[in-house]
Amino acid sequence: MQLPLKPTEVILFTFRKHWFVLLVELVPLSLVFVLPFVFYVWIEQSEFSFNGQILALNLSPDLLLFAGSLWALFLWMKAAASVTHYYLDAWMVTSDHLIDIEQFNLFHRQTSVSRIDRIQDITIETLGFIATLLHFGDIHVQTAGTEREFVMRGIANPKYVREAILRQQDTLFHKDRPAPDQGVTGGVEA
Amino acid sequence: MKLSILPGLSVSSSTITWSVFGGALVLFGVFTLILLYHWTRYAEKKSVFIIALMVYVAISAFIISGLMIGALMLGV
Repeated sequence: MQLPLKPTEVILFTFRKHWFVLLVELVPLSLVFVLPFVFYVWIEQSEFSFNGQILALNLSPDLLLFAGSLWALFLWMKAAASVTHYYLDAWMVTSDHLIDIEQFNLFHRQTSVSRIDRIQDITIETLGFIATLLHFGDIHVQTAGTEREFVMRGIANPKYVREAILRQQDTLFHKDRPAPDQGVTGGVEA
Repeated sequence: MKLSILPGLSVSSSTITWSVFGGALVLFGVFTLILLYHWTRYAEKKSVFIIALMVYVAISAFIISGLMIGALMLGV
């Protein structure tokens, strides 16, 4: 994967959204897949009458297999797209930058880069019972750059991510400061 | 079994079945190429990409074989 890194820059951490965020997308797909079959079995076992005539739904097993496989194929493609979208959304903390990669859809990808020493504020937000239980939430990072705020939603262990960024910021900050002069004990001679 | 879609124009049910099958396969193929492009370009770990590819191929093969069997049975 090509990233806008300097030759001496290294990727320290890569963070992704919590697995529950992916599950929330996949479970409805599973239900939508099962629903037509349940509906078919229910219709087949029930008797409906219309104008005094009993209606019966009889699909051949071959047609059921063909239609069911076609339905499964389309839902499988949707599920694969959801997994790809989940995996390609990432935050990377390098030695100098914070990189926010957001895959909006298969043909829309946004990469934002911010210098870690320009980060001014990091806010984490954990909303809801499940988010609190499973330790995931949103991180808002305020920077002094053009892209003022980075937001990562549904990220796993947001406190750990915040600590990682702040730790790296401290490292950068102390690296550039001159070491204190050991001979100075305090006070200035007149 | 012949189905009349327009006056004077009838198509056999097996033609419709295989057309639908072919269309679904083409769509799936294009979609797979797009996914492969994204995974090879943006996935940073090769091991994750290989595992994901294996799972994708296995499940896709299962579904497509069901589709093919259904089409074969309907087309006969």
